[in-house]
Amino acid sequence: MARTLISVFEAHVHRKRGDLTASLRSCEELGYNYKLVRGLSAVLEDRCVFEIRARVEPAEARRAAFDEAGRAVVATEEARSRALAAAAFRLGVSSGDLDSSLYADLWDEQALARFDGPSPLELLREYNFSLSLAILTAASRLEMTYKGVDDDLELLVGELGGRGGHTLDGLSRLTFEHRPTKRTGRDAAALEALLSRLLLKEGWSLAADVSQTSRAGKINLFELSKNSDGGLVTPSDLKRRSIAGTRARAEPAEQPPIEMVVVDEMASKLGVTEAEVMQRLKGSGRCYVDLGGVLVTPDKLRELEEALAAAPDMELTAVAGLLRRLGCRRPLPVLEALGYSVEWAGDRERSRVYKFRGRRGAK
Amino acid sequence: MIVLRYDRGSVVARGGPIPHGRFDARAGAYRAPALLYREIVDHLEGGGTEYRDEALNAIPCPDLKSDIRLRDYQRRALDAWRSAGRRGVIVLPTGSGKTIIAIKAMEELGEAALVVVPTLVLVDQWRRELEEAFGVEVGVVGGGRHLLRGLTVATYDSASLRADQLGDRFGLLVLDEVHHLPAPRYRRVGLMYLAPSRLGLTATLEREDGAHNALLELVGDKVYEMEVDDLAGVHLSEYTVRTVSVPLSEEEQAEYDAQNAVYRSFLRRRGIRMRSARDFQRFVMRSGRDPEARRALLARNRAMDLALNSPAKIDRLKRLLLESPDDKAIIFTRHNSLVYRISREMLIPAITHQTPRDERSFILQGFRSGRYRRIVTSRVLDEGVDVPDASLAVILSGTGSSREFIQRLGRVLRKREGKRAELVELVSQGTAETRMSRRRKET
Repeated sequence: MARTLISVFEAHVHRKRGDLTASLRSCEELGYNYKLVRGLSAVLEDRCVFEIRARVEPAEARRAAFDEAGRAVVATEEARSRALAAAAFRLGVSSGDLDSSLYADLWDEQALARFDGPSPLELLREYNFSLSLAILTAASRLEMTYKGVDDDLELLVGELGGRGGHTLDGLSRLTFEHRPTKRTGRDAAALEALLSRLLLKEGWSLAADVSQTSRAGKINLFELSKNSDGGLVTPSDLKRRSIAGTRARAEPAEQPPIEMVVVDEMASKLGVTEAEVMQRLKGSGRCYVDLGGVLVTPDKLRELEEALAAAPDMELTAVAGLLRRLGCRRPLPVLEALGYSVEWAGDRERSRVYKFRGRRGAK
Repeated sequence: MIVLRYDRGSVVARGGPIPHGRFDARAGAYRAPALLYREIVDHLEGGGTEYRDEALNAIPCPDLKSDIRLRDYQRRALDAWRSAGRRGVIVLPTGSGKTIIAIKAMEELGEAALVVVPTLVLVDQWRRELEEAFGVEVGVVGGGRHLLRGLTVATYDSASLRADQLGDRFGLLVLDEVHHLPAPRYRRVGLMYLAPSRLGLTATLEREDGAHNALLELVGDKVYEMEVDDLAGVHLSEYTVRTVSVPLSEEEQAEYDAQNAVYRSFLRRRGIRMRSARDFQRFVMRSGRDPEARRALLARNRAMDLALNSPAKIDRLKRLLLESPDDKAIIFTRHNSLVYRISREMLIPAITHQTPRDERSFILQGFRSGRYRRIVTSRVLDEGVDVPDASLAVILSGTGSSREFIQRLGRVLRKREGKRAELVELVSQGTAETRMSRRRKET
């Protein structure tokens, strides 16, 4: 099944995502378990770079075509061709280019520009990793052991609401209660980072109490260890993933690391929906703390919080300037996300910023 | 003396017990849901208990004066809400001016008010209406914006996510499209805000899951209701509803019958009866572990796809639009794929949940100004969005939900001199869609 699915992806390079989806759906009917087909496909999709291929910016193409059609009812192929030809003439492109650009930005219309195919065994390992992660999101208690000491692992456990563990005879043990979480968002990202890091340790093992919502919360024990499963579970190479290109015919390029994203701002900039921005960022492989409408990498978050805590002047203009110097172009939503409130005094000059709550999403 | 404070969705009382309060040993105080704030204060007042109220920390509200005049039924609705202790739900058809009633309620109360709406489009729409009515700056919470003012508009999402921070800042909650409030993730808005006054607005109160009963606790009772037919001709446009049966092509019909037979025969063999949405949900869950059920589900989906998205409907739609080329029309579908197919084929602007905000505003503005005579959409324009002057609604496909039907009808009911609105639904003949069409019109 893994081999078949990889070949389906390879055969769809330079074709539309909608065609790929349809072919994958056909695979579900080849007698394979459809849940496995979907799970493996989801892992493979993380290795794809999709891009919008359009000669005209799609929103501009639509506007031109709809404006040309205007008030008339376009009910025949001739009427459609006439309207498209007139709009294309105004834009200086051919009718065909205009036609193919109309909805080139739709999810299903994007082209698979690059597919970094794994071997079937690599795919299964990455699938196992994703599946393990999905199971861990439903865990109510986690216990990890590994050789040596790892401050970063302890930090990640802290991120998930746990506390530092103890070390005995060179073996560290971290145990913490965990609130089952969604499979996306801040906690899921922290879990992913935690599991990825754990798998790099010598002599690692993991045990989790996992509740099954479909069976009235029945608790099962989930166990993994380097000795028994080490060769079967691998995180995907995060560097391979990149955000899909958005410009017409642009070659997919390595994206500079994005440390802070105001989701609606980016959606507006890219001309896509906020859900799509979230999807792309999720696919970028970077770990973000979701503050609700604002995503920040853990390092950047620490930097912002420290800078604000040490700010000598809490007048809005000074604080906004400080945030801008740290790369934040829209300070207000970021301030709000970090738990600050602006007391407006009629004009910006006299308005002040107060810390009044913990940051959103903070435990 | 009892001191009341607000703490992350709760009223916290130090110095003595309060009604519905549970003792929180860690805080050394009694704690009750913020929803009960007014009841608690009334109880303390009524019993002559000495107390200090530091819970409500409402944002200062500017003077609110508008020159809006209410129609007779709007006045009666507002009176009924006032008589019910400024709590409760008003049920009025789309286009009958529910916003106006809320504006008058805000003016009358003169307290900080939070208007909660389901979509970002509605956030902008309410902000414009309030700024126009009162000439004051209106705050917005949602879609990355966070500006608090005496009058603030928020999405249910943001109001819910930030309930612990905003719950003590408003005296009045206006809950637009209040049937959304009982949804599990939005219920917090009803529970975690102190707001002693609450006004729910909707055109369709009942939810198919029965969750609307929770509104009694979260907002108050239904205090006033009028239906479309009560207002049609006087305050709303006269309207007609026409159902047009569209036959499938021979091949499509044969394919539909074959797929439907797979589905039906599975149900028959397993003795499954589909009497409610819950039955269907159970069937879908079964398909996850039972390959035969999955085959039946896929067959049923293919059959429905043929019925709902039949090419014959697009041909009929073209004829329909050619018959009334000057009418402003909204075309509704159930699936986005059909929206885009029509948009592409007939060069009609499309609005779905995938449409970027700027483009959506541009299209709606074009529709308002008359640059565009038609728009095609799936479900995002079903409720709330103010689309004046449309006089023809075409339902190309939909669900069996009467709420959806009433809301789609409401899109064309705004009154205009000489206007007669029409709703046309195109239904694939000899398919399950005919039953869906009957069901949605039953109420």
